[in-house]
Amino acid sequence: MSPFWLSLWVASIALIIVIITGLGACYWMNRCKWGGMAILDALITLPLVLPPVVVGFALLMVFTPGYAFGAWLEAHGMSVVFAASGAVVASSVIAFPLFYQTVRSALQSVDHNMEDVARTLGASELRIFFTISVPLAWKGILTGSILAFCRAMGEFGATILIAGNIPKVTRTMPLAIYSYVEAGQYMDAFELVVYICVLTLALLSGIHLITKGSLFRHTENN
Amino acid sequence: MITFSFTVARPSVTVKADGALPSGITVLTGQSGSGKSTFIKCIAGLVKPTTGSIQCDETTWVDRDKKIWVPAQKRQVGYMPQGNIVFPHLSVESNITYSKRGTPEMCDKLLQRLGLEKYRKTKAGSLSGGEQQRVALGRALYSKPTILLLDEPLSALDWNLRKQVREDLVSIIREWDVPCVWVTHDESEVEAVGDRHWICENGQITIP
Repeated sequence: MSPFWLSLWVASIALIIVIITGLGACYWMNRCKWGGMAILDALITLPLVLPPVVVGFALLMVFTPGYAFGAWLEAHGMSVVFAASGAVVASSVIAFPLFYQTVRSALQSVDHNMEDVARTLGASELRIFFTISVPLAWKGILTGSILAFCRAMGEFGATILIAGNIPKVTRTMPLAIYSYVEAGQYMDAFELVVYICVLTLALLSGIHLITKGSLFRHTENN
Repeated sequence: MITFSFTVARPSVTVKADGALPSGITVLTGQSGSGKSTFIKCIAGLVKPTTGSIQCDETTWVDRDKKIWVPAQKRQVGYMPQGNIVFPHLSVESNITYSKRGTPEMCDKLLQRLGLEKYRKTKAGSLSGGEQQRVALGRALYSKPTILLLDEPLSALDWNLRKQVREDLVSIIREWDVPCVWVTHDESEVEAVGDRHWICENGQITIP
């Protein structure tokens, strides 16, 4: 697979993982009253501020077949280290806090009176989350998804440690740019730089167009 | 009938209440921050009393000594908080039928009575303030409530709209014959709305 399509594939799978786990984490964190939430919240956000290479090193320690979990995965035919799945794992972990923080803020800004009304109407917490909180926070969820996708597309440090830089297997666009520059192929690197810039710019513009534009306005009649 | 005897300590005020909620409309007035909203949130099951109990007919909703707590989901209480309180992303019909306790016939009847039939499929967020209040009342009534708790239902409306919406709400509540607590800090609503008047002062609910 070419670096461009591999990057798209990795970022798309990572985004699906991030949306599912991120919404789950937001639901749990917003409703759990446990005293240690601040520490857990900081722990979840850590990959956002740590150098990606540190995250990559931690992932390598977790997934390398030399240790228990990695050995167990390998025994069950699942290899993460030096595989495309490793790039997906790295991108997911790096992109997760960006989605989580954006969506959590959006969910917290939903009028809690509406959730209270839904409670008195007999709705379960899960139903309230998916029928009231999530639809009312859709702008934040969309913004978080696009930011996470762009971050996953640009992931380099953690990916190179856990997935390596194997042509057509784990060489995503950022890794390919690095390889081309190292080999002195500046025009090839430039081509990919243009691709990645145009794509992420289009996606980031999309946030503004969709959330501030006329799409999905709830004042329209059905 | 709902009987209560509880206290709830909040950072700003400690609410003490002891009495019973009779049929008809009870207007509860008091200064901002006196504990009116906290009182009805306790009845609704959205705030836990610090001590005491709340009983609905034969069922105990709260008894702090016996560690009994019935959550809001299971109390069958119609609650309208302050502000814009419809689910703006749902249609009028989906708002009203959000609770699963009513029937399609009941929804039709409510839409007709509330004058909202033509807005059945319209997103509730696009309606005017008065229409939204009627949707919120319909939604509460559809859940077959044992009691209606209205927290300043007219506060989000312009002054010129208030009288009409107030008359609408009161006449529908009387038709449905559901006991109601109407919280307000507007003394002019007392005579226009209520069968009786309770006062909340510094957290103490005075029941004449």
